[in-house]
Amino acid sequence: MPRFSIVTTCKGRLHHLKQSLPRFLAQPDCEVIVVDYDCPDGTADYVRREHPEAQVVAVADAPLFNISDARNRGAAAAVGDWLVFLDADVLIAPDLFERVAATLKPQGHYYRFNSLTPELLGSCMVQRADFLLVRGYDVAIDSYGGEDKEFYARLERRKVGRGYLDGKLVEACLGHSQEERVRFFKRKSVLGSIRVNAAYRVVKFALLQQYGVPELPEELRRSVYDLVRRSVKAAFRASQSTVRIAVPLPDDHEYMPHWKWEAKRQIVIDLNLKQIELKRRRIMDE
Amino acid sequence: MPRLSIVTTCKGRLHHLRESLPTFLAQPDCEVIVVDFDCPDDTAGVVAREFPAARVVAVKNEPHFDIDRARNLGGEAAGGEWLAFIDADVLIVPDFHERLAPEMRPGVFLRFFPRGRGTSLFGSCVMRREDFLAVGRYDEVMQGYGGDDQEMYFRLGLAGLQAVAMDFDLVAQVILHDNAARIKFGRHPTMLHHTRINSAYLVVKTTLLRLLGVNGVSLEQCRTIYKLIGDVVNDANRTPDTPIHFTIDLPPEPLGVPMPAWKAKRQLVFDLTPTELLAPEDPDDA
Repeated sequence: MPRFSIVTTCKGRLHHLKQSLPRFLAQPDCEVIVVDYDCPDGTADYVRREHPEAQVVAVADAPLFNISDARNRGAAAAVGDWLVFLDADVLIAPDLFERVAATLKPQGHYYRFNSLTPELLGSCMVQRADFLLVRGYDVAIDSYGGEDKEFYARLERRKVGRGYLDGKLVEACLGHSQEERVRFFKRKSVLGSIRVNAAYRVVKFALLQQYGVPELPEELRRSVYDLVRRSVKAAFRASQSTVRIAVPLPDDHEYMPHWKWEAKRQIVIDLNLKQIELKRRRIMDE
Repeated sequence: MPRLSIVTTCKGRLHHLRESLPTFLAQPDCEVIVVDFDCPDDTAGVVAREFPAARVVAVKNEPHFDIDRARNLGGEAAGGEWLAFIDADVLIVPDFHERLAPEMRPGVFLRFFPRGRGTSLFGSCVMRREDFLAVGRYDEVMQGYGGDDQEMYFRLGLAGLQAVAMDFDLVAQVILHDNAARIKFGRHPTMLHHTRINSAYLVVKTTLLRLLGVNGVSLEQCRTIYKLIGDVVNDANRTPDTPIHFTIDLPPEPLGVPMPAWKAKRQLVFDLTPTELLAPEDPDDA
């Protein structure tokens, strides 16, 4: 069984994958899983034909891209101790794992790249056991940005510490335009996505702490995400810089014997746009 | 140094202690600490004379019984690696310590799960002294009868310790007494007063601790919250059995998630409805 499983996802980026995939496949002690997320470029066929040593997971009937779902499906097919999520536009050094292997701590850590390149933020290495512990990426998170940060925050909450990989282990990141980035998302505004997804994280973490679990049930996540999305949207339509979100907290029968009271609890979160965001918004409104 | 310290507290229960203390003193590799909490029966004097093997911690000028402070004083004075808090009305079997010894390992605490079998056993438990100190001892803010043991177990659980159930046959006998005896030295006229305030406080505190961490709420903050709840419950303008409503602002602390775009302000909202009516038990109505 290989020690490493590279998981990469593709939705309209076959031109990138053609360059990055050979480098993934050149790594020793490693399997490579390509998730074709209903990619219009015929990625699955191309990979099966040109690189039969790669494993293909093909997802059909998914007109919109959900990065979390794509990564989770790739991870479900992986068998290595370490899951290595690399975006299709990341060109890694041929000896990446050789250089990394010696520095990996056996337990209790995940790794991100020590680099400010935004293209590298979503790439990480995590032990499969830790990935399973926190139930993977959150599929309720929609459109661009934040699913990586949210996943890392959940790992760190379960005492899986953050480690860094040298950014120089990546030789290049293939750029792409803003339009290309949001091509398969419902929400076309990158800024809008960052705002909604950041607001969702605040609400979700308050709930995670109350439930005391590694991850919330998917149904609850979806309804909370929808509430946050609608609340942020309504505030923006009304040109308000404050969003109020009220979420009921779960009953806690184990440690809250409801003797004497029937308790209803809510957390009310007031979000205010930061100064820099307010300025940005003014510029965009003009 | 003994492995186990049995801590027991006394406020007007010398007649119980005379029966239970010999069963404590019979345990091997064990010290026994009796906390005389300004007991009108001169417990300290009697124990020193008749049971010189027990250690006595004596407190003066305390007309009301504060069981948490009493337990803390005992726990702090103890020299054992493990603390057993056992109420004065509980008689234990001769091989109590011997039978528990294999269960006493790091990462756990031991308690009874009475489920209707004598509430006297709720408060008796065994924990490592180190854990007792790390989670912040018993909550001395809580007054009167009820809930303080639950609150301690909640914090131990939140700190990651596992609750192990103690067998009922570790107890030889529980001396029966009525509720009047329980609240004889309390601050409120009825049992329901005590439990209402403490139970509402438990709801609030456990919610806060989940959000802010096991040591995330200071003693000063606990006092403020306990007073707020007492004031709301005892509000002279309120009909005794109507629901109560109050809010608590959360401190602006790190949220555990990266927050671009927003500043967050969080507030907890509580709506509590009494499930048991005060009127029938109120002495004024009798």
